[in-house]
Amino acid sequence: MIEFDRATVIYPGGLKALKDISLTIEDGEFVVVVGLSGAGKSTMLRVINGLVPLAEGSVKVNGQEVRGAAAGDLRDIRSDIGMIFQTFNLVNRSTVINNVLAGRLSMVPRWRSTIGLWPKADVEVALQSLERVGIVDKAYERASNLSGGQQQRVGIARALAQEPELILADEPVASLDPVTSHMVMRDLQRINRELGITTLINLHFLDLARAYGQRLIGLRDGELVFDGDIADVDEDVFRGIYGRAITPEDLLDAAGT
Amino acid sequence: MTGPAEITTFEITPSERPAPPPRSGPFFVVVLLIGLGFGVGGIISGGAGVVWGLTGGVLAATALRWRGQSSHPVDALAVVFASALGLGWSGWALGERGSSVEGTTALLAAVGWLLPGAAIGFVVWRHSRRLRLASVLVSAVGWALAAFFVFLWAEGLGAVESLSRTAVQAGEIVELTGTFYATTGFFIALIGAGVTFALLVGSPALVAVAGSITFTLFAASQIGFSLIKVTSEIDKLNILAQEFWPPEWTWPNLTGQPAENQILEPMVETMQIAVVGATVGCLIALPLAFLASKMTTFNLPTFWGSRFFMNVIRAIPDLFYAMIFVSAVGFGSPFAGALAMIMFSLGIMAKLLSETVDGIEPGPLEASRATGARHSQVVQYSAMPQVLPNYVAYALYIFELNIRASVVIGIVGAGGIGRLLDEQRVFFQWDRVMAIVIVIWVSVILIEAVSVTVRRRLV
Repeated sequence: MIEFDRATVIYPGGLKALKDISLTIEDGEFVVVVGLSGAGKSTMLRVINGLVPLAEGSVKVNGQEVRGAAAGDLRDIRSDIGMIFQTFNLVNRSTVINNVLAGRLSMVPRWRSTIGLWPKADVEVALQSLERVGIVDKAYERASNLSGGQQQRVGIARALAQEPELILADEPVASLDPVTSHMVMRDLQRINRELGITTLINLHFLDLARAYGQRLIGLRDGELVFDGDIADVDEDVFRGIYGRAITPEDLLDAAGT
Repeated sequence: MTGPAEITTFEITPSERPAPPPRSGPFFVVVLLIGLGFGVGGIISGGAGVVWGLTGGVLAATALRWRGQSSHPVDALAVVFASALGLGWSGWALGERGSSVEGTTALLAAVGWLLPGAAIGFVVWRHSRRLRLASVLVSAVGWALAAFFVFLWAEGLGAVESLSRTAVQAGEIVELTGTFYATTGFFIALIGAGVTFALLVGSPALVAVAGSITFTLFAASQIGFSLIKVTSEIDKLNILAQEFWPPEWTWPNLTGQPAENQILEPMVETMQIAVVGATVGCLIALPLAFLASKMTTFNLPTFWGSRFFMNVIRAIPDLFYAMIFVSAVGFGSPFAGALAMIMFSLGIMAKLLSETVDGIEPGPLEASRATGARHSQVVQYSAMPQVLPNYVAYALYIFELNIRASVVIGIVGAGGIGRLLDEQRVFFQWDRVMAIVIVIWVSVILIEAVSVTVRRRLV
């Protein structure tokens, strides 16, 4: 369970990226966060695992306060939260399996990770994670040799290797083509439904949000402007989030056609 | 619109696992550990030659490993075996060095060193289909020239001085002052015209070029640089040729006993200095470089602290280090040279690598930080793979620099062939100097050829 209580983020330079956000996300939910770029979507995800510090208010993950957590506690919190990025953030020179094993870094003794002597069990977890996203055959290839969609699947596998309770996906399909986008979204949906992992996804495209989301959170200029069932999203709600009517650019499958 | 497809069951279907490629990891660790062990032992026992073969082996293994090509066990074994054999041989041969100077000693040691070299060659050959001979040749010529200039550098004003002394003896004093100023004036006028023209044309680039040429010529005139002087004294090259050629390869030692190969042994010592300096310096520089980059440092104090340390190290020239350490551990000691080369390598590597770290992708760092990894793990798993090919390439380059620098520091008493060069120069034994320079020349070319080949594999 994630609890936002009057959470506020101020970046160096004075920009208020998140203003007084209060909401609760229950275990197992599949939540989509939408908003224009700069609305605070990425910030909202990053305060949950403490990559961005709060200025005011509080964010609790399973009852544990993230704000002001000691370094060790913060690592514990993070080890239960998988994160997926728009640009995949893989180490291109390393092999796929090494990238996925990075998800297990917090769970092995330091000397083992230092000399690269991974326990068999952890390697097996990594291989299973790759199996879940269907690219286990690429395990020993260099990450840079994979296509964009495959690289994002490695990113998902890295998150799965943490055996997380929560997955944060920051614009996971923004660098992918429409077909691959749907494949990645389906992967994330399946992970949510079958493993019961709470999932928070930032999305730009409204039709993707409608197709896969259950609950929708709308942000505008760092403020919460909508929080409800995806079925209730109509033109008015959209106007509230985006400040304008829907255009083809807001739809993945209409864009570019 | 393409909707979500039917949700298929999400069980793990047992599928064919790909066979992992032969792991070079453990072999790499073994090579590294043996190398470090022998290296430390070698330094303690005073036989620095021991480090040589294994450093090569480690470098080759590292290079291949970080090239992303898991090398076959046979590669690692070849390097380990040959290195062990080679250093055993060298250690035995060099063991006798202290008591009596035998010409064959250094030769034997050198032959021993060929083994790890051959092993590295074997590994490189196994991994590269073709050796680009042309580029090796080109760089060999480049190094030949470089070596010659190094000699001139080492000789410095001494060479010029002795040449003019020769001229005086021959009664050919040439008055150059008038023509010198005339030439300089002419050039400055020419450049002035160039600047004017550039300004008229209105090209900032031309102005900049003309400006820098002007400044260069001004500086040149201040230090007495003159083309006229070069042309008017070109006939002195005859004297140079007569004095330097043919090279004298052997000469009696101080006790009047005939000796052989007294050049090779100090050359070997110079290489030992360079190897120890580059290896130890680059190893210390690795953590320092990560601390000195905002990307990977712990906090502001570690950042500024390591930066400050790095800048202090680098601000002191290698010759000065050599002088300090010579006075600390004794004149003529190669250990002083090694210490100086450690500081020299450390300064360069820390600077180069920390700037490389500044430019890495921040994304992977954020990703592994988000998994709850410790800072050291984040650096090792997300930052290090991004810079390791550069690190190995820099290390090889620094090794090349060290070879040349350790020739020069020998002149201030830090051991190696530089000391020999200086001894013979002081007594105007130009034919012997020539022989020494040829040995330096050949060694540097060979090392460069190997280094260039390995580095090319990394880019």
